Amino acid sequence: MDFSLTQEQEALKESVRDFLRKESTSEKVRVVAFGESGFDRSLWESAVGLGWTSLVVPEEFGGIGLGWVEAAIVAEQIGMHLFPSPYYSSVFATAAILAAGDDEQKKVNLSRVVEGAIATVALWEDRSFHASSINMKVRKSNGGFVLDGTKLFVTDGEVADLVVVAAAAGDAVPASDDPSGRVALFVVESSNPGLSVQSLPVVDKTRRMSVLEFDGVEVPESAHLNAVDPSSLGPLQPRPVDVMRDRACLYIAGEQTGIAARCLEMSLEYAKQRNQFGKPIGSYQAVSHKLADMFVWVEHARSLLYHAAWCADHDPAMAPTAAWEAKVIATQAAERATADGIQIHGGIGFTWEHDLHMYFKRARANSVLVDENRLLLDVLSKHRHG
Amino acid sequence: MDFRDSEEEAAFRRGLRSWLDDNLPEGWLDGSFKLPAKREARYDFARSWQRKLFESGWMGMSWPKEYGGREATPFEQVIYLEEMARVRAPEPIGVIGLNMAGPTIIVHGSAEHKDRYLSKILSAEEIWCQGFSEPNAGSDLASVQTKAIRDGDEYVVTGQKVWSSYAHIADHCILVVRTDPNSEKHAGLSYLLVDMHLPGVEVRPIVQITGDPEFNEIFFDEVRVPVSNMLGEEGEGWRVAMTTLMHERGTLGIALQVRARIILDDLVSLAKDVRLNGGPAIDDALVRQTLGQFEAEVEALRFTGYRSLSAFAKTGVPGPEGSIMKLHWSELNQRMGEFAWKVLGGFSQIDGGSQHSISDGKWQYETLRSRGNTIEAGTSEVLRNIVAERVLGLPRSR
Repeated sequence: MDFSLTQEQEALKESVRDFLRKESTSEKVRVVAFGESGFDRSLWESAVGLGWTSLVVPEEFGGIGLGWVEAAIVAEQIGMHLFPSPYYSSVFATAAILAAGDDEQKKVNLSRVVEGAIATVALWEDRSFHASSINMKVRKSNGGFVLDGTKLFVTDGEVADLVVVAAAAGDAVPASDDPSGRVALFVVESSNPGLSVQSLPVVDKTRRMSVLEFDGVEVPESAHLNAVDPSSLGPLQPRPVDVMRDRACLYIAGEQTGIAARCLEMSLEYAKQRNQFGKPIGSYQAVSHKLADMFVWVEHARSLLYHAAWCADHDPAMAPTAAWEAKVIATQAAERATADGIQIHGGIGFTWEHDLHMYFKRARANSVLVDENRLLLDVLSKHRHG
Repeated sequence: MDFRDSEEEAAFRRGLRSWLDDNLPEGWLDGSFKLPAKREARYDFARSWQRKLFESGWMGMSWPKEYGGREATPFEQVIYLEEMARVRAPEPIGVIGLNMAGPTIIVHGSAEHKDRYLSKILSAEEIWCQGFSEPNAGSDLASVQTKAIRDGDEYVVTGQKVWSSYAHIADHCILVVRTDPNSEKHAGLSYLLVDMHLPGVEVRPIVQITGDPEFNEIFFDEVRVPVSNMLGEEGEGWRVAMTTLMHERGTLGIALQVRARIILDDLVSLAKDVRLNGGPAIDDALVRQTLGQFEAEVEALRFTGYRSLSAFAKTGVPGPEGSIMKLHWSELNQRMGEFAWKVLGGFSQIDGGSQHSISDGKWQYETLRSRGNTIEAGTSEVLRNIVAERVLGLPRSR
């Protein structure tokens, strides 16, 4: 039993932190987030240059073959610095291709992602992701497929080069994963003439979302991620569509942990220097006890995050529940820390000028990504207590 | 980072498992074993169980080998607690001695103290109690008034202690006294090891919220304690007492996550047994989601405990994570108990002893008893102050 980071992991953490301290300052985040596109290509290229898009990709597919502990380290720092970039989308799509693609599909697609092609996923058409709520149609045509339908909540859809999309498997294709045989995954080029993107006016400007319309989108047969034969899986074995979402949960847990940790830092600093009634407000228990509770939840979030990351690399049986636990607790930590952070800062914490509102909004945007807590708690109990 | 047992840890786990297989009381695992109904008989049972553990080398995991301990690594101690919890092994009886008096004597005791007391703590031959709190010294422990006046080779102890578990069966007491009558606060306190059978010691039970007399008042009326029974020097009592409290609160806190796991497992069983709207209560979405929340928090406690231990194993210094274990556990335990009552509905009001009781009064006891968790061993308010001031570096509130 050993819960410490290796020297290499510590070094990665430092290098990520140093980069973000310099490149993801409050001023920079605001310029990007409140700009037209919400995207800064040179920032993204720097992150790609640092190898972030290659962390979880095995060497045989063009990556550096580290793992999810490393991805969690990056996610935590990104949360702390609100790094505005399509990294979450890229990680999610990478997880999808790793889970559902065959070797050739992994090599072709992931080598592009590693080099900086922006990838995202288009799963949702409604509030929750459930096989029965997928209406995107797929039919066979000219040795390939044609996709028709609409996807909601597509993160970074406007800047993506590649989109992993979930369609309702019917007679045209065998389902790639879902036990009910309804979900098939495809990789689609964003330049496809049948694909149109419409941006959504999102609350959290540091990560954009859009609607993707698929109108007779033609893709070759090789676009179908069908490495996993659904008939070979037992009823309890996770499907690729589950595995990719579990990895995304883990990643978001990392961001939430970072958000909570940074808000605790800011609030502590403020409580030590802000004087009222002749004393620092941090000497009053109504304030200091809030901070103590924030600390408790940040610590828990971090513990579960790194356990979940380790499980993703080494313990597939535990990986799903560990990821859900991590996302639930980290989200509660982030929601608490951002809300109490605003309260502790008083009036200044309620302003546009202060950064807290950006953390507050991103914590809540993160909380509904993948699956929100209520759904995760439900499935967690079913798994652990069933 | 690696959450698997090392080879040594796996061997330790196997050894303990096979010992438990051979030595648990007959019928323990299948539930046919029944603890004696009478309190005294239960004490005898716990005493003989602890003795059996001791004789086989399974007591005092962290203690030095020369006093009968095992010098196990921090993670072997975790394995020990988890394996004991897995089979719900009987509790040993001498918990104050094992968790508080013993560790304090190991740190501050002379060779004579260690020879005299330690192995008898492990073997359950001698039971200990704690004499810290007083009617006017609760969270503000430094205002202890019980006095000990030096008279030749003895201290003459007079005063009153309160909330002392096991005092009614204890052979010794770890006692914080004021040796300098003109002193105030932390200075002038000393730490004595007091024989509870000395003339002038009187123990009176206090009935708790549960209806059980689990703790006591202790009155000292000119009790003559040999000077050699002092731990540390005269006037160093505060420092010695802090060692005790650190162990009591479980700086390493890992035992608490194991207790939380047991309660949660029982709560899940309860939610499967109790029927709600025509089906098991666990089929209700709110029940399930609440259990999911408890699951996530129990796991959070577990891995935060591991992380703290990992830092401790590497650096010899407990990480800041440890300070929050008791704080979080106590409040979680209360929420789990309250939730059991919600699941039970009307049955929450039927205590043990009726054919209509569910779990024979277990949840009535647990839920009421849990109110003490946020008071004993440092109130949650004191613990939040400790986190705020010592971990987060905020200015003192007093």
